[in-house]
Amino acid sequence: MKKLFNISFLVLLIVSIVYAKKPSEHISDMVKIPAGTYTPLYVNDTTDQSVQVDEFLIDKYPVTNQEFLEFVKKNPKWRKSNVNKLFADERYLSHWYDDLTLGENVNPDAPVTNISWFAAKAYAESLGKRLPTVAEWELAAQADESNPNGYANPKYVERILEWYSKPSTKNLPAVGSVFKNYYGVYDMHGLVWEWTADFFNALVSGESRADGGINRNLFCGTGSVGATDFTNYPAFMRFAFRSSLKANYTTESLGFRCAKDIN
Amino acid sequence: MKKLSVIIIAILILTVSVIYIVATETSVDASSRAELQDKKSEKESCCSSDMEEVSMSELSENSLYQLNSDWTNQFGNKINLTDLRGRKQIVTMIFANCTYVCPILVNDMRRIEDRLSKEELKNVQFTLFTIDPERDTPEKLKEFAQNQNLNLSRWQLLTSSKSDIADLAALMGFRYKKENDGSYSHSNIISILNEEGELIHQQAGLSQEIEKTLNVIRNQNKQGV
Repeated sequence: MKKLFNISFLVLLIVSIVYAKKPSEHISDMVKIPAGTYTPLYVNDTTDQSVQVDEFLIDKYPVTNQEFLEFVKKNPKWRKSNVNKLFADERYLSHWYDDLTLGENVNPDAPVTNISWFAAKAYAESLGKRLPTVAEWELAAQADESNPNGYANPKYVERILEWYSKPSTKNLPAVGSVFKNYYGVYDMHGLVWEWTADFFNALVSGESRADGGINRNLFCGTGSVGATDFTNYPAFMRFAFRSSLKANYTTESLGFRCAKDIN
Repeated sequence: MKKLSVIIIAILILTVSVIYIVATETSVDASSRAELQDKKSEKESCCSSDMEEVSMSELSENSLYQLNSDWTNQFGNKINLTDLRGRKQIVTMIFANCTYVCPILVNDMRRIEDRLSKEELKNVQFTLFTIDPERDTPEKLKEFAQNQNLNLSRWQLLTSSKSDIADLAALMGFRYKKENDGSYSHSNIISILNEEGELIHQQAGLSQEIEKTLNVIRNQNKQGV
C-alpha cells in the first residue's frame, strides 16, 4: 500500500512538473511580465509618481520585416505608396525595395524599422494586441539576463550605454541576436529603439512647446535624479528620445514590439 | 495482483492529469480566441480598419478627419469626426476634473469667441475633446459646460475611446500624461482646423495674445501652421 502511495505520488509529481513547465503564461510568442512598479525618470516634486504596472504580456521579439510585410499585404492602406503622410512620413519603410518586396539587402528576420507610431499601433491592433506603455516597456527592460532589476548591476547599464554610443547600422541583425533577459524577452536593448503607446507622455509639464520651460523642467529634474542615481542615465536618453518623437515620424533605428493585457 | 492494481491506478492518475491538461489548454485557447474576436468586433481605430468612404467629397490628405473616429457628445449623441467638416474648428483637449489649467484654456477659447462677430461665429465651432474618457461621461461633460457657461449652440464636448483620443492628440501634437492622483499633465495648445479639418494654426501657452489666432480664423484662405 505504501508503495502504491509512493508511485502515485511520483506520477503526480511528474505530472505537476510537466504542467508547470508547460508555458501556460505564454500566448504564442509572448511572455508574461509580472506586476511591478516603474519609477519615471524625472519627478516633478515631492509627490509619488511611481507607476503601478499590472501584469501583462509582451512580445518576445521586436516585430520583423517579414511579419510587417504580411500585415501590409493584408492592409493596402499601410503600403508605403498608399500611406497617408499624416500617419507616416516619407521615410516610412524606405529601406524596402517596394510596397511588397523587401529587397535583397533587407533581412526578413531583422526588426522592422522606418515605422511610425500609427503604423505600429495599427499592426498591433490587427492582432488583437496593443503597444506597451512606457511604464510597461521600462519595467520589462529593467531585467538583465539573471535579474529582474538589472539596473542594480553597473555592468548592465554600461552595456546599454555602450550600445547608445554606437552609430546605428544600416544592416540590422535578426531579432533574438542581442540578449534574452530574465523574463525571456529578447533585444530590449542593443538592437532598435521601440515605440510605446504613450510616448507622448514625456515632456508635458512645459507651458508650451515653444517656450524654454520644457527644457528647464527636464534638466532640473534630471539633475536631481542623476545626482543620486547615475544608473538612470540610459533611461534619460530614452526619455529625451521619446520627447523628440512625433506620431508619424519614422527612422531607421526605431521599431516596435506588441503587448497585451492579461484577461 | 498488487502490482497490477498499482499500475492501473498510476495509469488512471496519468489519464486524468492528461485530460485535465488538455482541457485547460483548450479552454485557454478558446478564451484567447474569444478575446481576439472581442477585440476585432470592437470599434477599430483609424488605423486598423479601412477608412469608410465619406459621403461628401473626398477628404484632403491633410485632414485630421482622416481618422474617421467615433465620438459621443455632451448630450450622449454619437458623431463621427468627419461630422466636424464644414465649419472652422477651434479645439483643445481637457479633462473635466481639471481645476486649474483647463478652465484657463477654455477661457482663452472664450476670449476668441468674444472677439468674433455674429457673422463670423456662424462659420466657427468650439470643440473640447476629453483626455479622460473613464471619468468624463457625457453627463460630466455637460456639467462642465454648464459650470463654464458654454453656449452649447457653438460649443461641443466630445469623448471617445482611449485609443481614438490618443490618435487625435498625436495628430495635434498634444501631449498628456495621467498622474497618480488621477489628474493629467498636458500641453496647453489651442488648435485651429479649417473647414476640411486641416490644422492651420496652433496657439501654445496659456493666456496668450490672440490676435494672430483671430486673423487665421477670419482669413478665408488656408494658412500654414
